[in-house]
Amino acid sequence: MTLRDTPEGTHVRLTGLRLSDDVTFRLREMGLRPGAVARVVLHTAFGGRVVAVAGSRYAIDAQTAALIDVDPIGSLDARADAGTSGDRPARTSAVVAR
Amino acid sequence: MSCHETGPAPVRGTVATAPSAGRVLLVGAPNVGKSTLFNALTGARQRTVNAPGTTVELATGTWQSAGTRISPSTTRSRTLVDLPGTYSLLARSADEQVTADAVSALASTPGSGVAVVVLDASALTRSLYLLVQVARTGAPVVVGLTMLDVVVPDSPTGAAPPQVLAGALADILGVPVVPLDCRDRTPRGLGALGEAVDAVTANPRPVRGLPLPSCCAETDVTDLATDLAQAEVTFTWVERVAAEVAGRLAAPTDGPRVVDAPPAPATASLSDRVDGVLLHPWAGIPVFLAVVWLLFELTTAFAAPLVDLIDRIVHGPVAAIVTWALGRVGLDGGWLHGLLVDGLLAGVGTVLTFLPVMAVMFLALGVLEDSGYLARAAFVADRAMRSLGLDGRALLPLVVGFGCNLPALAATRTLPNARHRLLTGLLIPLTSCSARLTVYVLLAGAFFPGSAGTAIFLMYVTSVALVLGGGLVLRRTAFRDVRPEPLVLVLPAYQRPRLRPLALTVRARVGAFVAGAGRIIVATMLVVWVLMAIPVAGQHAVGAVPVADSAYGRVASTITPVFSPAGFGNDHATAALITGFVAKEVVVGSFAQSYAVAEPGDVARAGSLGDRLRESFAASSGGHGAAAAAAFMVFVLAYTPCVATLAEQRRLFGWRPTLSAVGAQLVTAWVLAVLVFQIGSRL
Repeated sequence: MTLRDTPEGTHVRLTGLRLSDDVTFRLREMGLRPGAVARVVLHTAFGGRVVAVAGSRYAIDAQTAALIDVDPIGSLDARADAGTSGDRPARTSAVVAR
Repeated sequence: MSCHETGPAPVRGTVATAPSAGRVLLVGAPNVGKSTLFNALTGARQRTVNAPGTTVELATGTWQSAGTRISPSTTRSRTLVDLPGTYSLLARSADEQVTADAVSALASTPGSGVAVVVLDASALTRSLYLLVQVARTGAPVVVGLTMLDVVVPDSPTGAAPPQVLAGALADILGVPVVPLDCRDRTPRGLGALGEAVDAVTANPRPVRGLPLPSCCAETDVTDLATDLAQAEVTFTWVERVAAEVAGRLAAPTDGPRVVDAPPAPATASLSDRVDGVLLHPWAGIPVFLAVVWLLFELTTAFAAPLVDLIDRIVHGPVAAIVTWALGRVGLDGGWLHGLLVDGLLAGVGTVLTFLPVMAVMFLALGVLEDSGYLARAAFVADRAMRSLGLDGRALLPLVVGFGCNLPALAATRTLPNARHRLLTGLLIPLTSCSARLTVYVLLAGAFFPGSAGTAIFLMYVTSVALVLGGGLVLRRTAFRDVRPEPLVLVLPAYQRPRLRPLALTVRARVGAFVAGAGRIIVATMLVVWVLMAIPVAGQHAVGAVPVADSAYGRVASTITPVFSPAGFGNDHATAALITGFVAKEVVVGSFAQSYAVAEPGDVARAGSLGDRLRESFAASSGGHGAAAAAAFMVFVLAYTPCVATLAEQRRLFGWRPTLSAVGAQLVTAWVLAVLVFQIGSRL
């Protein structure tokens, strides 16, 4: 599924960016990297999305959101990854519960 | 460490000022608080300039600080440069290139200065990436830590005390890390920052454990695949450092568990709740339109009384004092009096009348920017501007242009891309400012008395069509590189704007306007006065020449035939258009002067001026006065708005694009006017 299809409040892991190489590169520099955990904060006008990643809020237009592939993740896993900005394997829930 | 000071107090009576302690570059992502820090460090000792060879605006200033603990009697003076915000030194715009080049230049000249990399404590991983890039260039680095007061529930470091976070980072990175809070009335950390800069200047040290040696500066790499490979290494390093910081913060058993026990991720921050309203699918656009309307009102209705007051003071008491002073030395009434009062003072008065408008606009933009709403506005308006390949923020200056083009040009500074600023700046003169409205009202009232409102409305429709058409043409010609790009914006947390930094910024920007555009405005007004004062026919003294016998009148007569195909090839119309080049507000007065009738108090009821207009337009158009008047109105809409706009365009974009735009506007205006007349006269 894509970020565009994701309901508000859902936690997802970014799995792929189907954008041009230079745009993908810049998004990675900005912190939107495959592996990053995101929470869909808001749906906005014209299909835009506001997502939270590692404490930052990103506003993403509808077309771009439709080109970002995501996998929904469970809430416990999301708690573990609230501080994960990408590319690193998620910490386990056991670590969180420590 | 206490950071509530600006350095230890110097020893009374023995303060010495050292020579400049080098350049200090402020480097950081957009909205990270660089400008607030810059204002806190420089105070009033700042100015805005364009980066050499570019149209990218930089703030530079002098950072003076009290002595250090080592030498308390010495006051340090450093040159501080607030570089354009960027997420990366791999530049994707002219603005980012300026930052990359400045850092590279600093690194290539050892001992020339220090880069203060400003990190957003609430978004540490993103900030660390830029730090790595700066450090790899070899530039001496000090880290400033901001946004410590921004509570982000799901930030990895959200709950960490500033000093603890700074200490952890400094231990890991091996370079000074200074927590900063410049938003309070009493900024914190500035003294410590000065000491850190001094320490690094004296003893540069590398960032510990950089993933690549400093010889392999990323700014030298151009291949995207190589960039990606290096970036992957950097990302890994950043993740490791972030995890290490988080681990250290979590270590104390009785301290807050920053990483492993974050607040529930679904917790909405205050900014999230505000965004729930301001970016709501239904409320977001009305809120944006309300903000734009407010800006429009501020630069027109709100500023108007101040503009009138300044105009009355300059042309009343000040002109009277100058006249009185000249009379005391026996020089009143002559050409020198005319030059000083009608030329120089009128020019200075014009500049002064624009100051309230510009100050209000800069202040309003500062509030929008500092509050965090500007990024939201860009997002909300993105759809509207996408067809022109522009950032959503471009809509704001374009709307303001319908009030006055000058503050609209000022508003282009909110666009982060130099090419977008230039394209928007070239479209702004096509927005029909309120000064042009007086011309429409005069001519519509005189020629279309039964449907004046419709005629004026059509002028605004034409203006919007010109902006869209002009934008599409420019995008397919000179701006083929400007294309719609995926919009991904980092939304800063909402914050309360602070008055002092705002006031300093407004003062610096208004000062830059006066120094840059003001001189051109005054010079142009002087040239116009000289042309009107020099007699080329009849027996007249210099400075006491009827318009028809002046060099100005001669120029108008020479140009007049050019407008014959548009139906308004008469000297009165031409003279009014030349005057309108200086300012559209004086077109009605110019008509009245050239017809030697009184200027109407209410332009909608032009009286004898209307009669004279109908006569001369009918004569020059072969009996199609209405079509000629419509053509004249379209010409007024499309050609150069005023010399002030021209001067500001020159200041922001340079002479070449400005003069090219003037040429294009004149050609467009002429072609449209001829079309309107030729079609209108056949209906």
